[in-house]
Amino acid sequence: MSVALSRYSARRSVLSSAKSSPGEILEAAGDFLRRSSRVGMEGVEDALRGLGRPQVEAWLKAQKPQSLQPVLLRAAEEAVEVALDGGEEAEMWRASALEGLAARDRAASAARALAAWEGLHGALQGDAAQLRDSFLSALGTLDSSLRPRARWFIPLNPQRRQELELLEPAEQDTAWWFSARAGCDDLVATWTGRPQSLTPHLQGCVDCRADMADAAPVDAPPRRHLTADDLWRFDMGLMTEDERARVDAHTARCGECAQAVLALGEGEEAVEEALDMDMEEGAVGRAARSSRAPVSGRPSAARHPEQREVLDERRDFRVVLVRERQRVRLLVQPLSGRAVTAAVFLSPGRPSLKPTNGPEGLSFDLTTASSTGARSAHLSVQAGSETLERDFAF
Amino acid sequence: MYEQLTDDELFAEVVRRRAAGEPVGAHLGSLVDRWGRPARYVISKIQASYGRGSPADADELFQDAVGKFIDRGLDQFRGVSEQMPGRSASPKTFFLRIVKHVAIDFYRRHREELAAPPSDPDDAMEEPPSEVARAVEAGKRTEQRAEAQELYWAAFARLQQEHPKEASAWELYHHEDVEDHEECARRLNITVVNSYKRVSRAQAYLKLYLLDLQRETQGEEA
Repeated sequence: MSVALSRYSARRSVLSSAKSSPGEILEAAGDFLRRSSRVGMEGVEDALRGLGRPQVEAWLKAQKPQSLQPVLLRAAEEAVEVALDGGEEAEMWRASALEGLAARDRAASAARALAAWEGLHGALQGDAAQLRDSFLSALGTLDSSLRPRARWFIPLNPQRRQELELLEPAEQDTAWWFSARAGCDDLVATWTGRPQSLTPHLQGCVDCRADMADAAPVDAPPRRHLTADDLWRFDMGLMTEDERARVDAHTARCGECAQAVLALGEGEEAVEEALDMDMEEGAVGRAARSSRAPVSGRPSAARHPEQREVLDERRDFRVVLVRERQRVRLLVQPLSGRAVTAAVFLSPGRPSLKPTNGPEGLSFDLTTASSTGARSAHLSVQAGSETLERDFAF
Repeated sequence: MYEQLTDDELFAEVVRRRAAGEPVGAHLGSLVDRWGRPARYVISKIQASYGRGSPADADELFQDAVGKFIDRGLDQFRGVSEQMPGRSASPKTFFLRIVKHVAIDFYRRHREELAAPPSDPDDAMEEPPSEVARAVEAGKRTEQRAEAQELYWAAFARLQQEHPKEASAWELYHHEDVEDHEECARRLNITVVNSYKRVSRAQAYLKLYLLDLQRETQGEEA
């Protein structure tokens, strides 16, 4: 005899106990009615005949089926913990989650017993009939909203199947808390990873296949792109070291954000150029107009100090490290008109920095890398049959 | 009208008037007018960087930048100047940086919308039916992808609310590209085993939340 079967058999005493409340009698009677083939009907009719109309009406008035919703939602979380915890507490989660399902099942039993009681005593009338309809309708609403979440209870499947076997066939589908997804045990393994191979159940079960397909975005989660605020804080030097590391890691994989960071550098260069242009024009204008506006006194060379270091020079190209006030870049300058390709790798296995093609040749901006603590990189240059592979510090 | 004032003097007057609750429109207008040309130069460079853009965009972006400068820039300038002396040497430099950011933000947001517009509006009408069907299908896919993303982020928001520790680990590991449990553990000040555990738990809950949200959405649509 299964544990569940002996538990129901033991409830028979509730039917005849003088201490039992009307609700307890209805729940116990319904338990037997819904499992009559397995546990028998002994004592059920007598117990229901013994319940008077005022008792049943008072019981109906006190019912709040909507209070089962938080109970079932908590049971769902607890059921998932059975699968995720896996430790000593798993059994505690299982017992608590099963108690939540049992609460919903007792409500179904009470509803079934109420129908049987009406069969013996005659239908409820007036306000009592309305209370009965509200009670049944609230249970229906609860089921409609929670049945689609039955997958949460899959970790309880061994116990749910035991309960299911005891129910009359006509009751089984309605009792979704025991029956829905009761054979989908294999799905649990897909929650924490992608299985190497699909079991026959996962291949054949329409619900499991739909779940796996619909949950796929979690297996390849979207990355958080750099926001406008991120770019501003990065540009203004307001980021922490970890935040800058994140920018570096993200731009190594995300072309769109790498382009934005690149544009920041190019834009900064444009800001400097625009300031220079204005200053030169201002100087000319002042000489011509003798304007009263004071000169900002910002000689270009002082504001824009630039150090150039030739790292390597071959027949077809020259490699120059250019340090400016806030920037470091590597220039690969073609010398012979032959096409030159180059790549700069900050670490093995990561993609090359994206170069820009300017009048001086290929330019690799190392500013971001420098600000995140990188101090060296690997350079690869090819011009015709000539190649250069070397590390360099910046 | 304000020619005799330098940029810094005019800016100081704007800040003073703003603090006193006096109108700043004329002073500010005069100030940003001086910066129109360099601002357009910066915009043109960002346009070149993105390989897109038009003079009409430049006007719009300039106006947006002025708006941002008024809304937030005046206060931010003070903040940045105090926090990072030298980073924004003058209000003009600061304004040009706002211009730069406004332009980058614009072309990032409009990357797909601006891709290859038809040169002649009538061209769109002359597309063969197969091309139209393909375009409609592509549009649908884009919309579905956007909806899927939206649901994913809604599921993540629920994870943050109900399992904040797991959400932090997931955020760091996946959304922020760390993808290294040792580094996650260091940043979260937890053990490496805990990092594995939190990310794994986050994955399970995210899937369940996402599936719930999808079914709810389907239920609402039905």
